[in-house]
Amino acid sequence: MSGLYIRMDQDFVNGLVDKVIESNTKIPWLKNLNVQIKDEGMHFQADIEFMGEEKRLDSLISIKNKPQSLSQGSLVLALSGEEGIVKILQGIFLLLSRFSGGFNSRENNIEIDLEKINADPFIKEVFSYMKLDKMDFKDGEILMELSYRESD
Amino acid sequence: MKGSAVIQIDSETVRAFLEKIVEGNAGSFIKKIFDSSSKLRFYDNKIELSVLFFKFYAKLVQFPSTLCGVYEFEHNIPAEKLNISKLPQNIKIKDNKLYFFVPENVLTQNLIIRSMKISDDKIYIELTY
Repeated sequence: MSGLYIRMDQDFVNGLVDKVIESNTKIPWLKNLNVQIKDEGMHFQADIEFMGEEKRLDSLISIKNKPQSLSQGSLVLALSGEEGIVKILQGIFLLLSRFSGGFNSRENNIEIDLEKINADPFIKEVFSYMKLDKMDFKDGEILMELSYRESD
Repeated sequence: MKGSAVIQIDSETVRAFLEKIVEGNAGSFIKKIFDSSSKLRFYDNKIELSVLFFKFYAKLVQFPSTLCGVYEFEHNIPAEKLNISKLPQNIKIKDNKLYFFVPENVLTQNLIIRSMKISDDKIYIELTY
Protein backbone atom coordinates (compact mmCIF):
# COMPACT_ATOMS: atom_id res chain seq x y z
CA MET A 1 0.00 0.00 0.00
CA SER A 2 1.27 3.43 -0.94
CA GLY A 3 1.09 6.38 1.45
CA LEU A 4 1.24 7.03 5.16
CA TYR A 5 -0.67 4.62 7.33
CA ILE A 6 -1.35 5.06 11.07
CA ARG A 7 -3.16 2.56 13.29
CA MET A 8 -3.74 2.94 17.04
CA ASP A 9 -5.45 0.35 19.19
CA GLN A 10 -7.71 1.02 22.15
CA ASP A 11 -5.18 -0.07 24.79
CA PHE A 12 -2.65 2.33 23.31
CA VAL A 13 -5.09 5.28 23.41
CA ASN A 14 -6.00 4.38 27.01
CA GLY A 15 -2.36 4.08 28.01
CA LEU A 16 -1.64 7.49 26.54
CA VAL A 17 -4.66 9.05 28.29
CA ASP A 18 -3.43 7.56 31.60
CA LYS A 19 0.09 8.84 31.10
CA VAL A 20 -0.64 12.29 29.71
CA ILE A 21 -3.87 13.27 31.50
CA GLU A 22 -4.39 11.15 34.61
CA SER A 23 -0.83 11.38 35.89
CA ASN A 24 -0.85 15.17 35.43
CA THR A 25 -4.21 15.95 37.04
CA LYS A 26 -5.22 15.47 40.63
CA ILE A 27 -9.00 15.37 41.01
CA PRO A 28 -9.81 13.31 44.12
CA TRP A 29 -13.20 12.04 42.95
CA LEU A 30 -12.05 11.18 39.42
CA LYS A 31 -11.08 7.49 39.69
CA ASN A 32 -10.34 6.66 36.07
CA LEU A 33 -10.63 7.86 32.50
CA ASN A 34 -11.41 5.23 29.92
CA VAL A 35 -11.66 5.16 26.14
CA GLN A 36 -13.64 2.62 24.14
CA ILE A 37 -13.39 2.72 20.38
CA LYS A 38 -16.49 1.50 18.55
CA ASP A 39 -17.66 1.82 14.96
CA GLU A 40 -19.95 4.73 15.86
CA GLY A 41 -17.15 6.71 17.52
CA MET A 42 -14.99 6.95 20.60
CA HIS A 43 -16.64 6.54 23.98
CA PHE A 44 -14.86 8.76 26.46
CA GLN A 45 -15.79 7.65 29.96
CA ALA A 46 -15.06 8.98 33.42
CA ASP A 47 -15.42 6.87 36.56
CA ILE A 48 -16.47 9.26 39.31
CA GLU A 49 -16.78 8.50 43.01
CA PHE A 50 -18.79 11.04 44.95
CA MET A 51 -20.37 10.73 48.41
CA GLY A 52 -19.66 7.01 48.53
CA GLU A 53 -21.26 6.28 45.18
CA GLU A 54 -19.37 5.30 42.04
CA LYS A 55 -20.64 5.96 38.52
CA ARG A 56 -19.30 5.54 35.01
CA LEU A 57 -20.33 8.54 32.93
CA ASP A 58 -20.22 7.97 29.20
CA SER A 59 -19.81 10.48 26.37
CA LEU A 60 -19.45 9.80 22.66
CA ILE A 61 -17.03 11.58 20.32
CA SER A 62 -17.71 11.09 16.60
CA ILE A 63 -16.08 12.58 13.52
CA LYS A 64 -18.27 15.21 11.86
CA ASN A 65 -15.76 16.69 9.46
CA LYS A 66 -12.30 15.54 8.38
CA PRO A 67 -9.53 17.86 7.23
CA GLN A 68 -8.50 17.55 3.55
CA SER A 69 -4.79 17.42 4.33
CA LEU A 70 -2.34 17.88 7.21
CA SER A 71 -2.63 21.66 6.86
CA GLN A 72 -5.99 22.28 5.16
CA GLY A 73 -9.49 22.11 6.53
CA SER A 74 -10.82 21.37 9.99
CA LEU A 75 -11.27 18.37 12.18
CA VAL A 76 -14.73 18.73 13.71
CA LEU A 77 -15.77 16.29 16.42
CA ALA A 78 -19.38 16.00 17.54
CA LEU A 79 -19.95 15.38 21.25
CA SER A 80 -22.95 13.64 22.77
CA GLY A 81 -23.85 11.64 25.86
CA GLU A 82 -23.08 12.76 29.41
CA GLU A 83 -23.45 16.53 29.39
CA GLY A 84 -20.97 17.07 32.23
CA ILE A 85 -18.12 15.51 30.21
CA VAL A 86 -19.27 17.23 27.01
CA LYS A 87 -19.08 20.59 28.78
CA ILE A 88 -15.60 19.85 30.19
CA LEU A 89 -14.30 19.00 26.69
CA GLN A 90 -15.95 22.12 25.25
CA GLY A 91 -14.48 24.19 28.09
CA ILE A 92 -10.97 22.88 27.38
CA PHE A 93 -11.31 23.81 23.70
CA LEU A 94 -12.66 27.27 24.58
CA LEU A 95 -9.68 27.84 26.88
CA LEU A 96 -7.27 26.69 24.13
CA SER A 97 -9.01 29.07 21.71
CA ARG A 98 -7.76 31.97 23.84
CA PHE A 99 -4.22 30.91 22.95
CA SER A 100 -4.61 29.77 19.34
CA GLY A 101 -7.23 30.53 16.72
CA GLY A 102 -6.88 26.92 15.60
CA PHE A 103 -9.07 25.65 18.44
CA ASN A 104 -12.75 26.31 18.92
CA SER A 105 -15.96 24.96 20.40
CA ARG A 106 -19.41 25.66 18.99
CA GLU A 107 -22.74 24.11 19.90
CA ASN A 108 -21.96 20.43 20.59
CA ASN A 109 -18.80 20.39 18.47
CA ILE A 110 -15.13 20.86 19.17
CA GLU A 111 -12.95 21.95 16.30
CA ILE A 112 -9.29 22.06 15.29
CA ASP A 113 -8.81 24.33 12.26
CA LEU A 114 -5.48 23.29 10.75
CA GLU A 115 -5.29 26.39 8.59
CA LYS A 116 -5.17 28.59 11.68
CA ILE A 117 -2.50 26.58 13.52
CA ASN A 118 0.75 28.54 13.47
CA ALA A 119 3.52 26.75 11.64
CA ASP A 120 6.37 27.49 9.32
CA PRO A 121 4.87 28.45 5.90
CA PHE A 122 7.12 25.99 4.09
CA ILE A 123 6.09 23.10 6.39
CA LYS A 124 2.46 24.12 5.89
CA GLU A 125 2.86 24.00 2.13
CA VAL A 126 4.54 20.60 2.18
CA PHE A 127 1.92 19.27 4.63
CA SER A 128 -0.86 20.44 2.31
CA TYR A 129 0.19 17.72 -0.15
CA MET A 130 -0.44 15.01 2.45
CA LYS A 131 -4.13 14.36 1.78
CA LEU A 132 -6.21 12.57 4.36
CA ASP A 133 -7.89 9.69 2.52
CA LYS A 134 -9.29 7.95 5.54
CA MET A 135 -9.86 8.61 9.22
CA ASP A 136 -12.09 6.13 10.98
CA PHE A 137 -13.05 4.73 14.33
CA LYS A 138 -13.30 1.00 13.85
CA ASP A 139 -14.07 -1.53 16.55
CA GLY A 140 -11.09 -1.21 18.90
CA GLU A 141 -8.92 0.85 16.57
CA ILE A 142 -8.34 4.31 15.11
CA LEU A 143 -7.19 4.17 11.48
CA MET A 144 -5.72 6.93 9.34
CA GLU A 145 -4.50 6.81 5.75
CA LEU A 146 -2.79 9.66 3.95
CA SER A 147 -1.30 9.89 0.48
CA TYR A 148 0.81 12.41 -1.40
CA ARG A 149 -1.10 14.42 -4.05
CA GLU A 150 -0.37 17.88 -5.42
CA SER A 151 -4.02 18.54 -6.26
CA ASP A 152 -7.40 17.16 -5.20
CA MET B 1 0.66 -6.68 19.71
CA LYS B 2 -1.84 -5.02 22.05
CA GLY B 3 -1.32 -1.50 23.35
CA SER B 4 0.46 -0.28 20.27
CA ALA B 5 0.32 2.22 17.45
CA VAL B 6 1.83 1.50 14.05
CA ILE B 7 3.07 4.13 11.61
CA GLN B 8 4.09 3.01 8.14
CA ILE B 9 5.24 5.04 5.14
CA ASP B 10 6.45 3.81 1.74
CA SER B 11 9.42 4.99 -0.33
CA GLU B 12 7.29 6.51 -3.13
CA THR B 13 5.55 8.86 -0.67
CA VAL B 14 8.85 9.80 0.98
CA ARG B 15 10.35 10.46 -2.46
CA ALA B 16 7.47 12.75 -3.47
CA PHE B 17 7.86 14.56 -0.16
CA LEU B 18 11.65 14.94 -0.50
CA GLU B 19 11.30 16.21 -4.07
CA LYS B 20 9.00 18.94 -2.82
CA ILE B 21 11.39 19.89 -0.01
CA VAL B 22 14.36 19.95 -2.38
CA GLU B 23 12.42 22.07 -4.88
CA GLY B 24 11.77 24.77 -2.30
CA ASN B 25 15.00 24.71 -0.35
CA ALA B 26 18.14 23.22 -1.78
CA GLY B 27 20.74 24.44 -4.24
CA SER B 28 20.55 23.55 -7.91
CA PHE B 29 23.13 20.76 -7.58
CA ILE B 30 20.94 18.80 -5.17
CA LYS B 31 17.97 19.38 -7.44
CA LYS B 32 19.96 17.92 -10.33
CA ILE B 33 20.86 14.90 -8.23
CA PHE B 34 17.22 14.36 -7.44
CA ASP B 35 16.08 14.83 -11.03
CA SER B 36 18.64 12.34 -12.32
CA SER B 37 18.21 9.84 -9.51
CA SER B 38 16.66 6.65 -10.68
CA LYS B 39 15.47 5.16 -7.48
CA LEU B 40 14.89 5.60 -3.78
CA ARG B 41 15.09 2.26 -2.00
CA PHE B 42 14.48 1.29 1.61
CA TYR B 43 16.13 -1.94 2.77
CA ASP B 44 18.40 -3.30 5.50
CA ASN B 45 17.66 -0.17 7.66
CA LYS B 46 19.06 1.90 4.80
CA ILE B 47 17.59 4.74 2.78
CA GLU B 48 19.40 4.56 -0.56
CA LEU B 49 19.27 6.96 -3.48
CA SER B 50 20.79 5.81 -6.77
CA VAL B 51 22.17 8.56 -9.01
CA LEU B 52 23.78 7.41 -12.25
CA PHE B 53 26.58 5.11 -11.04
CA PHE B 54 26.54 6.39 -7.47
CA LYS B 55 24.60 5.16 -4.51
CA PHE B 56 24.03 7.56 -1.64
CA TYR B 57 22.73 6.06 1.54
CA ALA B 58 21.83 6.83 5.14
CA LYS B 59 21.68 3.83 7.44
CA LEU B 60 19.80 3.97 10.72
CA VAL B 61 22.21 2.88 13.46
CA GLN B 62 20.53 4.13 16.60
CA PHE B 63 17.16 5.48 17.63
CA PRO B 64 16.01 6.93 20.98
CA SER B 65 13.82 5.02 23.45
CA THR B 66 11.06 7.62 23.17
CA LEU B 67 9.82 9.29 20.00
CA CYS B 68 11.74 12.47 20.87
CA GLY B 69 15.51 12.49 20.88
CA VAL B 70 18.35 11.83 18.48
CA TYR B 71 18.20 9.39 15.56
CA GLU B 72 21.68 8.47 14.37
CA PHE B 73 22.46 7.50 10.77
CA GLU B 74 25.66 6.51 8.99
CA HIS B 75 25.88 8.00 5.52
CA ASN B 76 28.10 8.47 2.48
CA ILE B 77 26.64 11.82 1.37
CA PRO B 78 29.48 14.20 0.39
CA ALA B 79 27.91 16.98 2.43
CA GLU B 80 30.82 19.44 2.26
CA LYS B 81 30.91 19.23 -1.55
CA LEU B 82 27.18 19.74 -1.85
CA ASN B 83 27.29 23.09 -0.06
CA ILE B 84 24.17 22.33 1.93
CA SER B 85 23.49 25.72 3.43
CA LYS B 86 19.82 25.42 4.21
CA LEU B 87 19.62 22.16 6.13
CA PRO B 88 16.60 22.10 8.42
CA GLN B 89 17.61 22.97 12.00
CA ASN B 90 16.89 19.48 13.28
CA ILE B 91 19.38 17.78 10.95
CA LYS B 92 23.12 17.85 11.65
CA ILE B 93 25.81 16.25 9.52
CA LYS B 94 29.19 15.48 11.03
CA ASP B 95 31.68 13.37 9.07
CA ASN B 96 29.96 10.11 8.21
CA LYS B 97 27.21 10.58 10.80
CA LEU B 98 23.88 12.26 10.29
CA TYR B 99 21.81 13.22 13.33
CA PHE B 100 18.08 13.79 13.16
CA PHE B 101 16.58 15.46 16.21
CA VAL B 102 12.90 15.22 17.22
CA PRO B 103 11.88 17.88 19.77
CA GLU B 104 10.37 17.10 23.16
CA ASN B 105 6.71 17.74 23.86
CA VAL B 106 3.99 16.16 25.99
CA LEU B 107 3.30 13.57 23.28
CA THR B 108 6.76 12.73 21.93
CA GLN B 109 8.23 12.24 25.40
CA ASN B 110 5.42 9.86 26.41
CA LEU B 111 5.55 7.65 23.33
CA ILE B 112 7.98 4.74 23.54
CA ILE B 113 9.45 3.22 20.39
CA ARG B 114 8.89 -0.54 20.58
CA SER B 115 10.45 -1.22 17.21
CA MET B 116 11.61 0.63 14.14
CA LYS B 117 12.83 -0.75 10.84
CA ILE B 118 13.50 0.31 7.28
CA SER B 119 12.88 -2.56 4.88
CA ASP B 120 10.74 -3.70 1.91
CA ASP B 121 10.64 -0.07 0.70
CA LYS B 122 8.84 0.97 3.87
CA ILE B 123 9.65 2.73 7.12
CA TYR B 124 7.85 0.98 9.94
CA ILE B 125 7.56 2.32 13.52
CA GLU B 126 5.72 0.58 16.32
CA LEU B 127 4.97 2.74 19.37
CA THR B 128 3.71 1.94 22.82
CA TYR B 129 3.01 4.09 25.87
